[in-house]
Amino acid sequence: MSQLLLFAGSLAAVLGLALVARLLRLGGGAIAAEAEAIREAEDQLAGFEAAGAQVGSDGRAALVRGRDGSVALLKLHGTRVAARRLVSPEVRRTGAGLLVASGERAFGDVLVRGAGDD
Amino acid sequence: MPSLPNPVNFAIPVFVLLVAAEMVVAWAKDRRRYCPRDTLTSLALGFGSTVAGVLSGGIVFAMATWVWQYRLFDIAWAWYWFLLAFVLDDLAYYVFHRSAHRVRWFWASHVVHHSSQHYNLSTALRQTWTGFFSLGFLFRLPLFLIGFPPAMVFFVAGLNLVYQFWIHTEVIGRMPRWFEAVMNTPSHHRVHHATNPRYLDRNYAGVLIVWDRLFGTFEPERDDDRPRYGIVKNLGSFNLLWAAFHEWVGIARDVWTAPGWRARLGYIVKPPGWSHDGSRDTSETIRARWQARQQRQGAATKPPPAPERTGAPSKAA
Repeated sequence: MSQLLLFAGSLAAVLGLALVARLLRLGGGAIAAEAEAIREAEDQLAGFEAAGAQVGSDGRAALVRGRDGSVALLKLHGTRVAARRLVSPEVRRTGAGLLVASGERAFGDVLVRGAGDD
Repeated sequence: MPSLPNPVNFAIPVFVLLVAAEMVVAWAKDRRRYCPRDTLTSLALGFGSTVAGVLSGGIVFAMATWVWQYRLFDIAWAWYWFLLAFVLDDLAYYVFHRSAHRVRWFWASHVVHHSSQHYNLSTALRQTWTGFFSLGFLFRLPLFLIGFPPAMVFFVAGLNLVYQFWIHTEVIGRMPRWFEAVMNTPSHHRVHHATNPRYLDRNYAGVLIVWDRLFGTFEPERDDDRPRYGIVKNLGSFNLLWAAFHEWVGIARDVWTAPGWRARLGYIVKPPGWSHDGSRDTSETIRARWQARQQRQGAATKPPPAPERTGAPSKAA
Protein backbone atom coordinates (compact mmCIF):
# COMPACT_ATOMS: atom_id res chain seq x y z
CA MET A 1 0.00 0.00 0.00
CA SER A 2 2.76 2.45 0.97
CA GLN A 3 4.66 1.54 -2.24
CA LEU A 4 1.56 2.24 -4.30
CA LEU A 5 1.24 5.59 -2.55
CA LEU A 6 4.88 6.32 -3.32
CA PHE A 7 4.39 5.47 -7.01
CA ALA A 8 1.19 7.49 -7.28
CA GLY A 9 2.76 10.49 -5.53
CA SER A 10 5.90 10.31 -7.67
CA LEU A 11 3.90 10.07 -10.87
CA ALA A 12 1.76 13.04 -9.84
CA ALA A 13 4.94 15.00 -9.04
CA VAL A 14 6.46 14.14 -12.45
CA LEU A 15 3.38 15.35 -14.30
CA GLY A 16 3.03 18.40 -12.04
CA LEU A 17 6.61 19.52 -12.57
CA ALA A 18 6.39 18.95 -16.32
CA LEU A 19 3.30 21.14 -16.31
CA VAL A 20 5.07 23.86 -14.30
CA ALA A 21 7.97 23.84 -16.80
CA ARG A 22 5.51 24.27 -19.65
CA LEU A 23 3.45 26.96 -17.91
CA LEU A 24 6.59 28.96 -17.16
CA ARG A 25 7.44 28.73 -20.86
CA LEU A 26 10.90 27.45 -20.07
CA GLY A 27 13.15 26.44 -22.92
CA GLY A 28 13.58 28.16 -26.26
CA GLY A 29 16.76 28.95 -28.08
CA ALA A 30 18.21 28.52 -31.53
CA ILE A 31 21.52 28.28 -33.35
CA ALA A 32 21.96 31.98 -33.70
CA ALA A 33 24.84 32.35 -36.13
CA GLU A 34 27.67 30.64 -37.99
CA ALA A 35 30.10 31.38 -35.16
CA GLU A 36 27.86 29.57 -32.70
CA ALA A 37 27.50 26.59 -35.03
CA ILE A 38 31.28 26.39 -35.42
CA ARG A 39 31.83 26.62 -31.68
CA GLU A 40 29.26 23.90 -30.99
CA ALA A 41 30.77 21.59 -33.61
CA GLU A 42 34.32 22.05 -32.32
CA ASP A 43 33.24 21.72 -28.69
CA GLN A 44 31.18 18.58 -29.19
CA LEU A 45 33.21 16.66 -31.74
CA ALA A 46 36.69 15.78 -30.58
CA GLY A 47 39.36 16.96 -32.99
CA PHE A 48 36.91 18.62 -35.38
CA GLU A 49 38.27 21.83 -36.89
CA ALA A 50 35.71 23.90 -38.73
CA ALA A 51 36.26 25.66 -42.03
CA GLY A 52 32.83 27.24 -42.37
CA ALA A 53 29.19 26.81 -41.53
CA GLN A 54 25.71 27.19 -42.91
CA VAL A 55 22.92 27.74 -40.40
CA GLY A 56 19.30 26.95 -41.21
CA SER A 57 17.08 29.96 -41.59
CA ASP A 58 14.97 28.82 -38.62
CA GLY A 59 18.04 28.31 -36.40
CA ARG A 60 17.11 24.70 -35.77
CA ALA A 61 19.97 23.04 -37.65
CA ALA A 62 23.33 23.72 -39.21
CA LEU A 63 26.01 22.12 -41.35
CA VAL A 64 29.60 22.83 -40.46
CA ARG A 65 32.37 21.98 -42.92
CA GLY A 66 35.50 20.49 -41.41
CA ARG A 67 39.03 21.17 -42.61
CA ASP A 68 39.49 17.43 -43.13
CA GLY A 69 36.50 17.20 -45.49
CA SER A 70 34.11 15.79 -42.90
CA VAL A 71 30.89 17.57 -41.99
CA ALA A 72 29.33 18.31 -38.62
CA LEU A 73 25.58 18.01 -38.59
CA LEU A 74 23.98 20.06 -35.83
CA LYS A 75 20.40 20.05 -34.71
CA LEU A 76 18.60 21.88 -31.97
CA HIS A 77 17.70 19.38 -29.26
CA GLY A 78 15.40 21.08 -26.80
CA THR A 79 17.30 24.19 -25.85
CA ARG A 80 20.69 22.63 -26.59
CA VAL A 81 22.49 21.48 -29.71
CA ALA A 82 23.34 17.88 -30.57
CA ALA A 83 26.01 17.08 -33.13
CA ARG A 84 27.15 14.25 -35.36
CA ARG A 85 30.26 14.01 -37.50
CA LEU A 86 29.56 12.67 -40.98
CA VAL A 87 32.34 11.56 -43.30
CA SER A 88 30.28 11.17 -46.45
CA PRO A 89 26.91 12.69 -45.64
CA GLU A 90 23.82 11.63 -47.50
CA VAL A 91 22.21 14.93 -48.46
CA ARG A 92 18.95 15.45 -50.31
CA ARG A 93 17.86 18.80 -51.69
CA THR A 94 14.21 19.53 -50.92
CA GLY A 95 12.03 22.55 -51.50
CA ALA A 96 12.61 23.64 -47.89
CA GLY A 97 16.35 23.16 -47.77
CA LEU A 98 18.86 20.35 -47.38
CA LEU A 99 17.73 17.15 -45.72
CA VAL A 100 20.74 15.43 -44.17
CA ALA A 101 20.63 11.80 -43.06
CA SER A 102 22.43 11.27 -39.77
CA GLY A 103 22.50 7.51 -40.29
CA GLU A 104 20.97 6.98 -36.84
CA ARG A 105 17.31 6.25 -36.27
CA ALA A 106 17.15 8.03 -32.91
CA PHE A 107 18.96 11.15 -34.16
CA GLY A 108 16.92 11.17 -37.36
CA ASP A 109 17.23 13.10 -40.59
CA VAL A 110 17.84 16.80 -40.13
CA LEU A 111 16.47 19.59 -42.31
CA VAL A 112 18.76 22.58 -42.67
CA ARG A 113 16.09 25.01 -43.76
CA GLY A 114 16.97 27.37 -46.56
CA ALA A 115 20.37 25.73 -47.12
CA GLY A 116 21.57 24.79 -50.57
CA ASP A 117 20.13 27.85 -52.22
CA ASP A 118 23.53 29.35 -52.94
CA MET B 1 17.62 -6.70 13.00
CA PRO B 2 15.77 -3.37 13.34
CA SER B 3 14.32 -1.90 10.18
CA LEU B 4 15.02 1.68 9.18
CA PRO B 5 13.06 3.95 6.85
CA ASN B 6 14.38 4.87 3.41
CA PRO B 7 15.47 8.54 3.73
CA VAL B 8 14.87 9.07 0.01
CA ASN B 9 11.12 8.51 0.41
CA PHE B 10 10.94 11.30 2.99
CA ALA B 11 13.04 13.61 0.82
CA ILE B 12 10.90 13.29 -2.32
CA PRO B 13 8.46 16.12 -1.42
CA VAL B 14 11.44 18.41 -0.72
CA PHE B 15 13.00 17.38 -4.07
CA VAL B 16 9.79 18.31 -5.87
CA LEU B 17 9.57 21.71 -4.18
CA LEU B 18 13.23 22.50 -4.90
CA VAL B 19 12.91 21.52 -8.57
CA ALA B 20 9.88 23.81 -8.83
CA ALA B 21 11.80 26.61 -7.08
CA GLU B 22 14.75 26.17 -9.46
CA MET B 23 12.36 26.38 -12.40
CA VAL B 24 11.15 29.72 -11.11
CA VAL B 25 14.77 30.91 -10.86
CA ALA B 26 15.33 29.74 -14.45
CA TRP B 27 12.18 31.60 -15.52
CA ALA B 28 13.53 34.78 -13.93
CA LYS B 29 17.17 34.47 -15.05
CA ASP B 30 17.67 32.16 -18.02
CA ARG B 31 14.81 30.10 -19.43
CA ARG B 32 17.22 27.86 -21.34
CA ARG B 33 18.38 26.27 -18.09
CA TYR B 34 15.26 24.13 -18.26
CA CYS B 35 13.74 22.46 -21.28
CA PRO B 36 10.28 20.99 -20.63
CA ARG B 37 10.91 17.87 -22.74
CA ASP B 38 14.30 17.24 -21.16
CA THR B 39 12.80 17.71 -17.70
CA LEU B 40 9.97 15.31 -18.46
CA THR B 41 12.48 12.74 -19.75
CA SER B 42 14.62 13.09 -16.63
CA LEU B 43 11.66 12.83 -14.27
CA ALA B 44 10.18 9.86 -16.14
CA LEU B 45 13.54 8.10 -15.94
CA GLY B 46 13.59 8.88 -12.22
CA PHE B 47 10.13 7.44 -11.77
CA GLY B 48 11.08 4.29 -13.68
CA SER B 49 14.18 3.98 -11.55
CA THR B 50 12.05 4.10 -8.40
CA VAL B 51 9.87 1.29 -9.74
CA ALA B 52 12.94 -0.75 -10.74
CA GLY B 53 14.47 -0.15 -7.31
CA VAL B 54 11.37 -1.44 -5.53
CA LEU B 55 11.24 -4.52 -7.78
CA SER B 56 14.88 -5.42 -7.18
CA GLY B 57 15.23 -4.08 -3.63
CA GLY B 58 14.07 -7.29 -1.95
CA ILE B 59 16.61 -9.41 -3.80
CA VAL B 60 19.45 -6.98 -3.07
CA PHE B 61 18.54 -6.89 0.62
CA ALA B 62 18.34 -10.70 0.75
CA MET B 63 21.77 -10.99 -0.87
CA ALA B 64 23.22 -8.44 1.55
CA THR B 65 21.77 -10.38 4.48
CA TRP B 66 23.20 -13.62 3.11
CA VAL B 67 26.68 -12.09 2.79
CA TRP B 68 26.35 -10.54 6.27
CA GLN B 69 26.15 -14.08 7.75
CA TYR B 70 29.86 -14.40 7.00
CA ARG B 71 30.80 -11.07 8.63
CA LEU B 72 34.16 -10.56 10.26
CA PHE B 73 32.86 -8.41 13.14
CA ASP B 74 29.63 -7.90 15.05
CA ILE B 75 28.83 -4.22 14.74
CA ALA B 76 26.35 -2.75 17.20
CA TRP B 77 23.63 -0.16 16.59
CA ALA B 78 25.52 2.85 17.89
CA TRP B 79 25.73 6.31 16.30
CA TYR B 80 29.49 6.13 15.73
CA TRP B 81 29.08 2.93 13.70
CA PHE B 82 26.50 4.75 11.58
CA LEU B 83 29.09 7.45 11.04
CA LEU B 84 31.77 4.97 10.04
CA ALA B 85 29.28 3.13 7.82
CA PHE B 86 28.48 6.44 6.11
CA VAL B 87 32.14 7.18 5.40
CA LEU B 88 32.94 3.65 4.17
CA ASP B 89 29.77 3.53 2.09
CA ASP B 90 30.84 6.82 0.52
CA LEU B 91 34.21 5.24 -0.31
CA ALA B 92 32.41 2.23 -1.81
CA TYR B 93 30.32 4.70 -3.82
CA TYR B 94 33.49 6.35 -5.11
CA VAL B 95 34.84 2.99 -6.30
CA PHE B 96 31.50 2.08 -7.86
CA HIS B 97 31.17 5.47 -9.54
CA ARG B 98 34.71 5.40 -10.93
CA SER B 99 34.04 1.93 -12.33
CA ALA B 100 30.74 3.18 -13.71
CA HIS B 101 32.74 5.58 -15.89
CA ARG B 102 35.63 3.29 -16.73
CA VAL B 103 33.95 -0.04 -17.43
CA ARG B 104 31.44 0.00 -20.27
CA TRP B 105 29.18 -2.59 -18.64
CA PHE B 106 28.60 -0.34 -15.65
CA TRP B 107 28.58 2.77 -17.85
CA ALA B 108 25.69 1.33 -19.85
CA SER B 109 23.58 1.70 -16.73
CA HIS B 110 25.08 4.93 -15.39
CA VAL B 111 25.12 6.83 -18.70
CA VAL B 112 21.41 7.53 -18.23
CA HIS B 113 22.24 9.97 -15.44
CA HIS B 114 24.67 11.86 -17.71
CA SER B 115 22.65 11.89 -20.90
CA SER B 116 20.92 15.21 -20.30
CA GLN B 117 22.63 18.25 -21.81
CA HIS B 118 21.19 20.25 -18.94
CA TYR B 119 22.45 20.50 -15.42
CA ASN B 120 19.68 21.23 -12.99
CA LEU B 121 17.93 19.55 -10.10
CA SER B 122 15.80 17.45 -12.42
CA THR B 123 19.06 15.93 -13.73
CA ALA B 124 19.67 14.54 -10.23
CA LEU B 125 16.49 12.52 -10.56
CA ARG B 126 17.45 11.16 -13.99
CA GLN B 127 18.42 7.66 -12.89
CA THR B 128 18.97 4.27 -14.41
CA TRP B 129 16.45 1.47 -14.76
CA THR B 130 19.13 -1.19 -15.06
CA GLY B 131 21.16 -0.70 -11.90
CA PHE B 132 20.37 -4.18 -10.61
CA PHE B 133 21.07 -5.82 -13.96
CA SER B 134 24.45 -4.08 -14.19
CA LEU B 135 25.40 -5.56 -10.77
CA GLY B 136 26.29 -2.18 -9.28
CA PHE B 137 25.22 -3.42 -5.84
CA LEU B 138 28.30 -5.68 -5.71
CA PHE B 139 30.42 -2.70 -4.68
CA ARG B 140 28.66 -2.51 -1.30
CA LEU B 141 29.14 -6.17 -0.42
CA PRO B 142 32.47 -5.61 1.41
CA LEU B 143 30.62 -3.52 3.98
CA PHE B 144 28.38 -6.45 4.86
CA LEU B 145 31.40 -8.74 5.02
CA ILE B 146 33.03 -6.36 7.48
CA GLY B 147 29.90 -6.66 9.59
CA PHE B 148 27.80 -3.54 9.03
CA PRO B 149 24.14 -4.61 9.21
CA PRO B 150 22.37 -4.32 5.83
CA ALA B 151 19.68 -2.01 7.24
CA MET B 152 22.37 0.34 8.53
CA VAL B 153 24.21 0.36 5.19
CA PHE B 154 21.09 0.95 3.12
CA PHE B 155 20.05 3.74 5.49
CA VAL B 156 23.35 5.62 5.12
CA ALA B 157 23.32 4.92 1.38
CA GLY B 158 19.93 6.63 1.26
CA LEU B 159 21.36 9.64 3.08
CA ASN B 160 24.22 9.69 0.56
CA LEU B 161 21.72 9.78 -2.31
CA VAL B 162 19.72 12.56 -0.66
CA TYR B 163 22.92 14.63 -0.26
CA GLN B 164 23.73 14.23 -3.93
CA PHE B 165 20.47 15.86 -5.00
CA TRP B 166 21.28 19.48 -4.19
CA ILE B 167 24.67 19.51 -5.95
CA HIS B 168 22.98 19.18 -9.37
CA THR B 169 22.48 22.88 -9.92
CA GLU B 170 23.99 25.91 -11.61
CA VAL B 171 22.15 28.23 -9.24
CA ILE B 172 24.84 27.84 -6.59
CA GLY B 173 28.30 29.06 -7.57
CA ARG B 174 30.85 28.06 -4.98
CA MET B 175 30.52 27.16 -1.32
CA PRO B 176 32.95 28.43 1.37
CA ARG B 177 36.53 27.23 0.82
CA TRP B 178 36.60 24.85 3.77
CA PHE B 179 33.42 23.20 2.48
CA GLU B 180 34.74 22.92 -1.09
CA ALA B 181 37.89 21.31 0.32
CA VAL B 182 36.08 18.43 2.02
CA MET B 183 32.62 18.04 0.55
CA ASN B 184 31.26 17.39 -2.90
CA THR B 185 29.61 20.59 -4.08
CA PRO B 186 27.69 21.92 -7.09
CA SER B 187 30.98 23.27 -8.49
CA HIS B 188 32.82 19.94 -8.18
CA HIS B 189 29.90 17.99 -9.57
CA ARG B 190 29.41 20.32 -12.53
CA VAL B 191 32.92 19.28 -13.51
CA HIS B 192 31.90 15.64 -13.22
CA HIS B 193 28.95 16.14 -15.59
CA ALA B 194 30.95 18.13 -18.11
CA THR B 195 32.25 16.86 -21.44
CA ASN B 196 35.03 19.42 -21.76
CA PRO B 197 38.19 17.36 -22.37
CA ARG B 198 39.79 18.82 -19.24
CA TYR B 199 36.89 17.59 -17.11
CA LEU B 200 36.24 14.12 -18.55
CA ASP B 201 36.29 11.33 -15.95
CA ARG B 202 36.93 13.54 -12.97
CA ASN B 203 35.31 14.13 -9.55
CA TYR B 204 33.63 10.81 -8.86
CA ALA B 205 32.80 11.62 -5.24
CA GLY B 206 29.41 11.11 -3.70
CA VAL B 207 29.55 13.19 -0.53
CA LEU B 208 33.23 13.59 0.36
CA ILE B 209 35.41 15.09 -2.37
CA VAL B 210 38.45 13.98 -0.38
CA TRP B 211 38.35 10.61 -2.21
CA ASP B 212 39.08 12.35 -5.52
CA ARG B 213 41.84 14.41 -3.96
CA LEU B 214 43.29 11.25 -2.42
CA PHE B 215 43.12 9.08 -5.54
CA GLY B 216 44.18 11.70 -8.08
CA THR B 217 40.88 12.22 -9.90
CA PHE B 218 40.09 15.71 -8.66
CA GLU B 219 39.71 18.62 -11.07
CA PRO B 220 38.54 22.07 -9.97
CA GLU B 221 35.99 24.02 -11.98
CA ARG B 222 37.52 26.90 -13.90
CA ASP B 223 35.86 30.14 -14.79
CA ASP B 224 37.66 30.19 -18.16
CA ASP B 225 36.38 26.73 -19.11
CA ARG B 226 32.67 26.64 -18.38
CA PRO B 227 31.27 23.12 -18.22
CA ARG B 228 29.34 21.78 -21.20
CA TYR B 229 27.00 19.04 -20.08
CA GLY B 230 25.95 15.75 -21.55
CA ILE B 231 27.87 12.83 -23.00
CA VAL B 232 30.56 12.63 -25.66
CA LYS B 233 27.94 11.55 -28.19
CA ASN B 234 24.77 13.34 -27.13
CA LEU B 235 21.55 11.46 -27.73
CA GLY B 236 19.73 14.03 -29.83
CA SER B 237 16.49 12.31 -28.88
CA PHE B 238 13.98 12.50 -26.03
CA ASN B 239 12.88 8.91 -26.57
CA LEU B 240 12.59 7.48 -23.07
CA LEU B 241 13.42 3.89 -24.01
CA TRP B 242 16.43 5.00 -26.07
CA ALA B 243 17.67 7.08 -23.14
CA ALA B 244 17.27 4.11 -20.80
CA PHE B 245 18.80 1.40 -22.98
CA HIS B 246 20.91 2.96 -25.76
CA GLU B 247 24.29 1.91 -24.39
CA TRP B 248 23.09 -1.64 -23.77
CA VAL B 249 22.01 -1.72 -27.41
CA GLY B 250 25.44 -0.39 -28.36
CA ILE B 251 27.19 -3.13 -26.39
CA ALA B 252 24.98 -5.81 -27.94
CA ARG B 253 25.71 -4.53 -31.47
CA ASP B 254 29.44 -4.33 -30.84
CA VAL B 255 29.64 -7.76 -29.24
CA TRP B 256 27.65 -9.21 -32.14
CA THR B 257 29.94 -7.77 -34.80
CA ALA B 258 33.27 -7.99 -32.93
CA PRO B 259 36.01 -10.08 -34.55
CA GLY B 260 36.78 -12.66 -31.89
CA TRP B 261 36.31 -13.19 -28.16
CA ARG B 262 39.03 -10.81 -27.07
CA ALA B 263 37.30 -7.94 -28.86
CA ARG B 264 33.90 -9.07 -27.55
CA LEU B 265 35.17 -8.94 -23.98
CA GLY B 266 36.80 -5.59 -24.68
CA TYR B 267 33.48 -4.08 -25.75
CA ILE B 268 32.04 -5.11 -22.38
CA VAL B 269 34.79 -4.39 -19.87
CA LYS B 270 37.01 -1.74 -21.47
CA PRO B 271 36.29 1.98 -21.01
CA PRO B 272 33.45 3.59 -22.96
CA GLY B 273 34.64 4.52 -26.45
CA TRP B 274 37.13 1.67 -26.68
CA SER B 275 37.10 -0.21 -29.98
CA HIS B 276 39.12 -3.16 -31.23
CA ASP B 277 40.52 -1.13 -34.14
CA GLY B 278 41.02 2.13 -32.25
CA SER B 279 38.54 3.94 -34.48
CA ARG B 280 36.56 5.52 -31.64
CA ASP B 281 37.30 8.08 -28.97
CA THR B 282 37.89 7.38 -25.32
CA SER B 283 38.34 10.03 -22.64
CA GLU B 284 42.10 9.60 -23.01
CA THR B 285 42.20 10.14 -26.78
CA ILE B 286 39.87 13.12 -26.53
CA ARG B 287 42.01 14.70 -23.82
CA ALA B 288 45.25 13.98 -25.70
CA ARG B 289 43.90 15.53 -28.90
CA TRP B 290 42.68 18.57 -27.00
CA GLN B 291 46.04 18.98 -25.27
CA ALA B 292 47.86 18.72 -28.60
CA ARG B 293 45.61 21.40 -30.05
CA GLN B 294 46.14 23.64 -27.03
CA GLN B 295 49.89 23.28 -27.47
CA ARG B 296 49.67 24.04 -31.20
CA GLN B 297 47.56 27.13 -30.53
CA GLY B 298 49.89 28.14 -27.71
CA ALA B 299 52.88 27.81 -30.00
CA ALA B 300 51.14 29.75 -32.76
CA THR B 301 50.18 32.66 -30.51
CA LYS B 302 53.42 32.71 -28.52
CA PRO B 303 55.40 35.89 -29.26
CA PRO B 304 58.88 35.37 -30.69
CA PRO B 305 61.62 35.44 -28.05
CA ALA B 306 62.91 38.93 -27.34
CA PRO B 307 66.52 39.63 -28.29
CA GLU B 308 68.86 39.21 -25.36
CA ARG B 309 69.90 42.39 -23.64
CA THR B 310 72.71 42.72 -21.21
CA GLY B 311 71.51 43.26 -17.68
CA ALA B 312 67.90 42.22 -18.31
CA PRO B 313 66.37 40.10 -15.56
CA SER B 314 66.33 36.40 -16.42
CA LYS B 315 62.73 35.98 -15.26
CA ALA B 316 59.75 38.21 -15.08
CA ALA B 317 58.57 38.99 -11.58
